[in-house]
Amino acid sequence: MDILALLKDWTGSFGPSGNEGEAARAIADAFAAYCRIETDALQNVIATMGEGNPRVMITAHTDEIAMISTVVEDDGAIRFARVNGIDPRTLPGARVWVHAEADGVREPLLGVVGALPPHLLQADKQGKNYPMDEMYIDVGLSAEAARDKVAPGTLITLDGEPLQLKNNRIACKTLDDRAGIVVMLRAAEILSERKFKGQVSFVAASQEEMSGGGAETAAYKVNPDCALAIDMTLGKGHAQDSDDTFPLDTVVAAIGPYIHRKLNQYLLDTAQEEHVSIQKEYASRSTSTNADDIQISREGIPVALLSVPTLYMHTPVEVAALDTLEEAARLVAAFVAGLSRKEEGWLCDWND
Amino acid sequence: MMLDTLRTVLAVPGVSGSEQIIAETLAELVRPYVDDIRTDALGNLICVKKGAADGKRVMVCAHMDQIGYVVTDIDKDGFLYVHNVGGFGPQAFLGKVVTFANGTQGVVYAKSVKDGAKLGMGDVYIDIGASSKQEAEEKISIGDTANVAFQMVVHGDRVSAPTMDDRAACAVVIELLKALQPPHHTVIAVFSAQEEVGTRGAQTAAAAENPDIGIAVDVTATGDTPGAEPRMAVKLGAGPAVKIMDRHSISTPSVRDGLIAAAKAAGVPYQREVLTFGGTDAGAIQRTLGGIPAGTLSIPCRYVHTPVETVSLRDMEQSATLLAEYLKA
Amino acid sequence: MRLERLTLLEELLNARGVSGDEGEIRKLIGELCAKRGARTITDALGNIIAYKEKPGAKRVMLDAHMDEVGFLITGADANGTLKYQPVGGIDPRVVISKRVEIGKDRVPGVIGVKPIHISTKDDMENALKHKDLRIDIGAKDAAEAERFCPAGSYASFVSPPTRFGEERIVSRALDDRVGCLALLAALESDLPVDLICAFTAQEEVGLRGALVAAKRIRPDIGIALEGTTCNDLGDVSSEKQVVALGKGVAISFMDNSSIAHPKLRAALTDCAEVNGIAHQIKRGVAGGNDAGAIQRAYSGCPTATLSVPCRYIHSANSVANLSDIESQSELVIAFLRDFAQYEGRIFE
Repeated sequence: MDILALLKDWTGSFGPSGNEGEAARAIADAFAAYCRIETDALQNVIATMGEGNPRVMITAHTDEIAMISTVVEDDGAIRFARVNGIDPRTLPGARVWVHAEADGVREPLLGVVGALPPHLLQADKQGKNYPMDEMYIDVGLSAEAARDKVAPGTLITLDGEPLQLKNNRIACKTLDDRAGIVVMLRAAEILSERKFKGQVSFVAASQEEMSGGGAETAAYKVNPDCALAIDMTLGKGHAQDSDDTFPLDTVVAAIGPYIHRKLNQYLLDTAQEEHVSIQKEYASRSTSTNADDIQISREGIPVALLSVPTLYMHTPVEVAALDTLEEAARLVAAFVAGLSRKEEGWLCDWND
Repeated sequence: MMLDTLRTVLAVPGVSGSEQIIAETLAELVRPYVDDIRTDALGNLICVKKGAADGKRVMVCAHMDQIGYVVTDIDKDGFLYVHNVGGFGPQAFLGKVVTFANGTQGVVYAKSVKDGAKLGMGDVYIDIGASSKQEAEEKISIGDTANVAFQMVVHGDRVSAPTMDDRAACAVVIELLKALQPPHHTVIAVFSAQEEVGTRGAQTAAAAENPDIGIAVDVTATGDTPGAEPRMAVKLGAGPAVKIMDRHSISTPSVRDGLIAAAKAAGVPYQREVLTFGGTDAGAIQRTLGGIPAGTLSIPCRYVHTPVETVSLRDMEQSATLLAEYLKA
Repeated sequence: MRLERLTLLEELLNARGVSGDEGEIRKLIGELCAKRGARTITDALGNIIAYKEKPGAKRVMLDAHMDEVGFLITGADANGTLKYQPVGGIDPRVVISKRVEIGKDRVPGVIGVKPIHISTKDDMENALKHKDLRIDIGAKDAAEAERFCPAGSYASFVSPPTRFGEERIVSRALDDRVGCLALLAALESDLPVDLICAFTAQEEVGLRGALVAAKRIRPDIGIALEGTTCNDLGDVSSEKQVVALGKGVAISFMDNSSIAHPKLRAALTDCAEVNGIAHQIKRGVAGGNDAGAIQRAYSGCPTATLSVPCRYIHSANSVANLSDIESQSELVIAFLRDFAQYEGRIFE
């Protein structure tokens, strides 16, 4: 499997929160090589291999952060708001894609984010970041043409061709969390080449960046015995070097009330057996990932969280290590395959 | 017709958690047009109008609760201390008249605050003209709720009154039920409770009914008044608004597109709405059980969460027409 | 309060159980439920649910949370002190100079702060945040600290339950071991309902346990037995007090997680009146509790909350009145005992 090619393809696929259709279809097509596919009403993709018990759900989220158009000014400038997660500091002078629609067909227009030039700003605003509502997008069209093509509520995504950096690192948009989906596909490939007992559902979940509704409802449908969420965590680098940041060449497991202790210990033990380098992060409350939504689905689903460290999260230049994605995939496959060796009821047995 | 229905439902009290009276009013208004009516543990009013056997089950949800005050304490001089029920700040209704469910009237005021200090909800009180705690307790108990007193101004097509949010949508749903010839799809008309405190009623109604599709009908803000912030394309009188997103949910594309198609088929104008704050019952419905495709049809409304919420009767009528068309196919 | 009840309360208080680490209290409750003839199950979140079934009768879920606020150790500094995240809502100002114990071995520690002698005016005025505070177990360096208290360990306040004043008790975790006490009392009685007592986990970090327990149980009615904030000392005007110690169990009309079912609330109030049980209205809407999760689980049910006033809630030294604690237990048992009288008007 060419992880790099897959990443390049999928991170460029259109799939903002709540409108994941296109990206979901590309993902479903890829998983079809190994799995039975179901897509649901909220644009989750559920790809299942195997049969019987135990049943495990692995999930990464499909949706990307995005912006949305609000009004078009009389001079053709397009005002916008965030759908979710967008860091306004990444915007001034950035290239973006405005996804105009004509008769149900998407027609991306290239645009540039503009704001009042620094030399013309008042003294007290110099040195301050531009708030989102003072920026606009220039698509190079007259107001009439812009209004015709760009209806209110038109989605806007960041532009960012993947760039290969040294040490097998990659910089591109939406590693969060399409890199997680690549990990799942690679794990599916590994599992397809070995026998394992039980059933695994890989869920490419919708709307994580919005409400977590995709993962919660998918977990309800799949009703697994346990689950593993895959997401990105903060990488260690320039201006981000604290306790909650991690080197790019390791994977990270979360610890805290929302994470099932025994299931997480099983994840850590599996990493040790497979010689996958793993560190721990702590969340005394929400993990800010789909793990939260799965834990309380149905009558409670034991869940653990596996994260890949990423630098510059929620920007068009997220950076991660390709080797770590491969390691994560190995771990996920081993995690799935080893579950059938656990005794029944092990996750509800709290005799410490 | 729409104006009469609107006037009737606007005037009835029903702050979140105390919807009994508005629920009874709505039940009487829709009883001749539906096959089944029930209420649930949260106070939702759930009405079913059966469609064809091969139709879908569509939940159409308008919330009947309104924002207001709840009495948290009564002091020795008979002043009522209050907290907000629903989203509004301490300044919102100062100097306004409010009414309690039993007809008692009061006026809202607040303690003076020092220069530069911010007014808090703990500084707000209601004066019902009592001179002692005992006198006040003859009329009001802790836990009672009060809403801004009903008054209405009609300027032709435009109507201003408190609680257009969301009684305007209730009126639309009532007129929709009246106009529906047996619909193809089964209509589950939910007049939901406790939306203003977190879309709570919609959660239990959707879990119990598990519809195939959910459509919330709610008001949305407009961008057509002086200095309106944030900038919005939605205008009063330009037709019903199909919601693309708000801060709590993104309309499922199939539902959003279905509402737009229904507008075109019915020949009514429509607007596309982006709201950068707030949420509706659609978010709660969408996240129910295994997931339900859901969206919102919005009635444009100026001055939301003030005593002078303003809607266009034509926008409301067109909303009902659009929904009827949606439920046909 | 009868001696055996007080002893049982102290037993519950001496068991620890910070949210996510409820093992000790869960084990104790399991033993206590078994002694009362209830069958129990534990679920994926660590809830322990006790059943005293009566098929055909209305299903009543009584809820009290086992977990308490505390600390999650996240690592150690070079100087041997431990870093932590608070678990549940703890105001950083109440942890200064408090004693804690960490992990299975109950390693003692203190949360120290720069002494007054070298503090600036700024230090004295502006409260520190949790990320600036450390737990000191006396370790010399990070390696030693991590050996005794590895990251991922949980710590709780040290505060032995102590009787004092007139009918008062001071302890950590009155919120919500008092509720657990009420549930155990209910399990001792033979009540004409299908009784399910959920001792929930993770209430303090978002009502997590109750949500999944309620979805499993699908009750006809839910009552949360809680501790609630009480601000009645220090010349506080009436509208800011919320409740008062010694005035009985507090019945809520609304809080930030739920609005009480009006008819259930009225029935509970009537029951208290008729049986001469001391009660008061909770005069405020602050705080949230499991009733919110139970009310909206799947198709939902009527819910209400009965609370024991607790001064200094979510601190090491919370204070409650023993007769209020008794009133809470008495009311819930009287209500369920006479349930047939109230059932009709609640469900009409």
